[in-house]
Amino acid sequence: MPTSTLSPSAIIQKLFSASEEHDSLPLRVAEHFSAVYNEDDALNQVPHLCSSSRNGSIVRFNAMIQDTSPSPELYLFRLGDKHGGWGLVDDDAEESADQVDYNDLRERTVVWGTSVPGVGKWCEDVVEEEDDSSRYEGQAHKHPIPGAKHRSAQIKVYDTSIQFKPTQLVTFVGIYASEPLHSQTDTEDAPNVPTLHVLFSRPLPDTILPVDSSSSAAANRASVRAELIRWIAQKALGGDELVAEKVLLSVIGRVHSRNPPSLPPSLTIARFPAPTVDPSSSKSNPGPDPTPTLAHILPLLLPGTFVHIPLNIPILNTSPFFPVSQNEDLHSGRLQLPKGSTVLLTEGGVEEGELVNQMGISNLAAVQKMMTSQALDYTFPFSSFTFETDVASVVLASGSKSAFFKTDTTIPLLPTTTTPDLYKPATEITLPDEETLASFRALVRGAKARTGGIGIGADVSKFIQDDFVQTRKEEPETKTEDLVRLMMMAKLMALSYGEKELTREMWERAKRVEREGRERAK
Amino acid sequence: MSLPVVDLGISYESERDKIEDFLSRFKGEKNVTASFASLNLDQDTEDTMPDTIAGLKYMSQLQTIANRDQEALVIDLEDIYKHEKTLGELVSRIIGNTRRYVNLFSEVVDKIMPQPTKDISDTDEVIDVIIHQRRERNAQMDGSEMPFPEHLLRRYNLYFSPLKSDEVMAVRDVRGAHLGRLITVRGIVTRVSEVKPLLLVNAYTCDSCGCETFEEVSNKTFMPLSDCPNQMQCQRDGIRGTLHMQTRACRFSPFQEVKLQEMADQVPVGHIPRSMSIHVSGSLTRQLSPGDVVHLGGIFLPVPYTGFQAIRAGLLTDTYLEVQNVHQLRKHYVDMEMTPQMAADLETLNGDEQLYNKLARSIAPEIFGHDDVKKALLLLLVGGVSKQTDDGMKIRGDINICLMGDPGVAKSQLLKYISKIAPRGVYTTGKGSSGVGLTAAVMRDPVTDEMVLEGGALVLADNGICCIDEFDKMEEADRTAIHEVMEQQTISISKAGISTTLNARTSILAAANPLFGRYNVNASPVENINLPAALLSRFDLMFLILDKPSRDADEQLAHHVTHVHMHSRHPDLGFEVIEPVMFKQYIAKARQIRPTVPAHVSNYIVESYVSLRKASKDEVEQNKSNTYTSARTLLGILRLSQGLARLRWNTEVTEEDVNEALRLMKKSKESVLLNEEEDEFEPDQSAQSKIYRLIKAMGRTDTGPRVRRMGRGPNRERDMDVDEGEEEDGQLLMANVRQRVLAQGYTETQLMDTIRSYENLDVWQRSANNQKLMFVDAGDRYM
Repeated sequence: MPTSTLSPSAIIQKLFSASEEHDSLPLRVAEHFSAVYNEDDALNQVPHLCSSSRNGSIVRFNAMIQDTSPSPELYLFRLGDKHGGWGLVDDDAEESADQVDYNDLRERTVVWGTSVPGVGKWCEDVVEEEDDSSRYEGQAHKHPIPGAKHRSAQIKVYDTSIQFKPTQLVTFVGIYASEPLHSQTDTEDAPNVPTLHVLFSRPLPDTILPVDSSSSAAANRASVRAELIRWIAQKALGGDELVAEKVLLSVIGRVHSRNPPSLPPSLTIARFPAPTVDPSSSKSNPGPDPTPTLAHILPLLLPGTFVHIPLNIPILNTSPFFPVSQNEDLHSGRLQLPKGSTVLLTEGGVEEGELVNQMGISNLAAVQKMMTSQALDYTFPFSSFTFETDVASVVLASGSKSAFFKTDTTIPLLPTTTTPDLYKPATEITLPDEETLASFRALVRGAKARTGGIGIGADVSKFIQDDFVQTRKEEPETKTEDLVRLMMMAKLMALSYGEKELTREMWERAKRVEREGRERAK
Repeated sequence: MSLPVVDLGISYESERDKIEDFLSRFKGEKNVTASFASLNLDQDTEDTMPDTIAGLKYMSQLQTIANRDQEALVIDLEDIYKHEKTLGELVSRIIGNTRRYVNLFSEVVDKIMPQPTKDISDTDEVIDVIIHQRRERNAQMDGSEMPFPEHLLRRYNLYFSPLKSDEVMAVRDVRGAHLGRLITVRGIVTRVSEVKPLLLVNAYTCDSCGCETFEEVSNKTFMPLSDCPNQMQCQRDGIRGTLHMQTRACRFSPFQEVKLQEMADQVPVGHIPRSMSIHVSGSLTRQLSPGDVVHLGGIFLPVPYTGFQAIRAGLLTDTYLEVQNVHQLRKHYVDMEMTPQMAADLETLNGDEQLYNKLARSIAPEIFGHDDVKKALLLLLVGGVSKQTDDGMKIRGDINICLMGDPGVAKSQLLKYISKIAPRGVYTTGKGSSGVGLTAAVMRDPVTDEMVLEGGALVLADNGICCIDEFDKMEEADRTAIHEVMEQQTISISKAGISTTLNARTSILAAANPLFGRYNVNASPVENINLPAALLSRFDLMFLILDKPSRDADEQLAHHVTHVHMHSRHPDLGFEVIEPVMFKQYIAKARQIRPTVPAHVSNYIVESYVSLRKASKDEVEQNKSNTYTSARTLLGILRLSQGLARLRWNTEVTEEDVNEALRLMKKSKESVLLNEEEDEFEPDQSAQSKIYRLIKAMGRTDTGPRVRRMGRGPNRERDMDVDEGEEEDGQLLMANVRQRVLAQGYTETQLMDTIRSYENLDVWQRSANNQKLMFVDAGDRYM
């Protein structure tokens, strides 16, 4: 812990009095506290924002920026010789309210942050277990996943030069306070919400944990990869290793370049049996939607956000998947996810019904748009705004193709066992030993963190060109899209092997997997 | 960030003199009467105007205010600027401290307000009568008693209208530094509250002395008086008279709270739009409704929280914009700003000799090849010149283009690119859009619950480009609507008791797939294209884009794709790509030019047209024609040539333009004919296709010219009489066919193979126990 025993407010007050350069105070505060908590260990000892946080205490919050629409707030930065920011002089407010000198007004940015959705437990370093009361019921619409345990807070940033974008991941360190909701302060009954007066902030990597660059596992990466695929296949896919490989390639997909587009390929696993309804369970009390084991397996491996969306008519019709602004308040949607997320959509629960109102159709369109162009429209009154996403998606369909979506690849599941249990609950999954699991995670994280994609040498490029021309000659129905998709798969294939450049071998391997998949789909 | 500092050196006395000088001496423009008309003045008011103030813009308005015929007094800062001949003095002080100056102006106006020239009468409202009475009482009093506050006697609202040169801001650009200043903000109105009364002056009467007391209210909250302050009675006698509020004697102002949100073009990419609270009062209320795009001029003000809120909110203030001026933009706003740098760049670009090629290639640069298609699209963006003749007939200047081709030839990307780059581009798919989507609909507005006319994609694209993908999958009814749009440039609708015609001066860019999904080389172009000729002739150009494997093209394509993946950018195109922003500006500028056709060029066009007609006639005679050459073709050539002239910012069409237009037309035709010609000149054609052509020729001669069917629109009754009995004749006797084919030296096996394979393609079918062969009549289903 820092040597200083002063309370944060005393430190700020000292910094405030130290210089007449008041406009640079936010920077000086950030510098001071950033230096104090520079050691990783020091930062890790700062408690997380939680329901038991006390007013005036320093907390840290790993947040996804959810909403940046609140207007900047004007506050009195000076009250006599005291500083008015960081929630310091809350209690003496009444005596000053009637005489406001407009020259003492300063701005601070207000954004809304929420816990990073769908992060695997092993990833969040020190999340202390909390009881359900830690949820802020009043503002639940600010979190993408309905009903999920989360924390959220309005965040007041004093350095107005920092621009935050929605779905960005940031670590905030600041002073906790419970204050009225900013967007409603003009109404008498504005609810009090957790508020963070930010001392300093740092970007949080998409992978949450920093990528381990030491490649001790590099030597046997091929064997780890094979093991990983076998493990996924056996635990979640009835032993189908081809599909498991496809899943692996899909989930490590990232937006490597937007223009020209090089987007993560979406995957449909067709002929994925729908959950068998247990006849013994009474109709009036159906259990929770059976979750495919894949939805339990993937968060054990993926470093960032993983979200399972069980598609069914009520969910499609009632909850918007895209953020919607209502009364100048941006409500989150299931697809408002940070970059590098993975979504698993399951169609097993879909029964006959009607997609009533605009909602159901818009939801499907939003998912489709995200798959094809990695963009999500946020709805505002009289307009909608398009935001970039970077989300890999896998669809589980029981038919020969997805009922709702057009994905880049579709591959039918071919279990090797006669009665595969694809809906094992999480508790029944046997984990590999610690070391193996760590090497699995390192592999996935290493590939997923390569946002820039992978290089292609000139000779390989020439080789691919000739190969394509040859293919066109033999199979004239091959289209440009096929080439584009194959390129993407080959790059992901190389990434999954930890290669630095695309090689002929990877190209051939990707082609083989592609062909096998096509053969199977016939 | 700096905040406005009040310059205490200003003498408000001298300011008042300046204001008085301005108000009493400023003359309006020459068309004073016209501006009167816009103020809705009655004829009699003008008659009653004394000569001394006639022509003085503000004095004459004060007179009408005094006569209770006008409520809003708008002080145009432009006028003060003209009067003072400087932006430095009064004008800048008004902008910097607007609220203070509203009061200063009001005080001066009260001082110089002329006497009404019209007596109070029974036609006036109660409030006017009360004001009249109070004014008389004020005059009678000798200052011993408290006069009525000026507020109570005012029956006007004073507003400032900002300078024309005032920068229009986005909500996110409004900072603390703008507090107290007059600013102009652009945005879309998202929410409007009900109109509520806002208390300006509270009136009380004392229950012991009966004295009237007034309290001016300037804040959102106020503390009501409780004790009678009358010094003549209650105070003197030490009585604490209780005050009662008198609603009728109070002065209220209508008040509305509005939310303004930023527009898409004002929000940096990847950010969430911000909104702002707007307060509208007085005569400006009820002028805004949700969905309006507006410029709002107003004062940016803070309100400190008071009372309970202040305790909770701490040292915060809320901010809002107090509206002074409302400027509705609606449809006619152009969001393009021209910088001097941009203008210079455009000039340079215009001088470029390779301009035409450069611009064309910059359309969707990531899509490889298709140079002529891109050139055509460029002309579509620029458009020809629309004219309206004296008798009201309109001649369309918009160019319509249809792209047809195999799936996966980047048609959709081209469409999307165009819809993005066009000043008013709308992208829609034929399958996904109902009649409502493409044309217009009457709907119940969810906000106001009133019936409103809702424009679909076509109306929204008025004066722009409507890109329709999957044109072939469109409903018949919508295609009929498109007919009207494409030639008459209007949409007629008659729904739910509202019948109207909306303008849809839009270019149509359509993309369609061939009938069989992929282009079927065995079927004729007409069969493949599968759109009624009436519609086809409305397209100035039509391109068929086929996906044919050829080594060269494949290699180039593969190179392109791998390059993109290698470097995450497009390969060097050997020329600089013109940025979309620049492109948009250039097109916008070009569209302002209206080139004319000089006489010699006109002759040239006529000659070309005549020879085209002749060639077309020959083709029809040889049964080779797939398209008509008609008067519409002539207009098409004209439009294309005009577009080419526009592109050079040239005011005259030249012969080269006509040649290029003709070349594009020819290319368009060739792209359609390509396959048939190839079939005929290919040396290694199979026996099957030869037999097929033989039988097809028999079908034609037997049933009369099949091309005739092209003439059918959606209402096929029109030429029913011509085709009568054709269904019978449409069948060929197998015996005749066999005889003819065998006579040409083919074998029975070859014949049967041919019949079977084409039967599989649904080109024909056998009937009557294989004794007859019938062409599957594409006309019935698709034409």
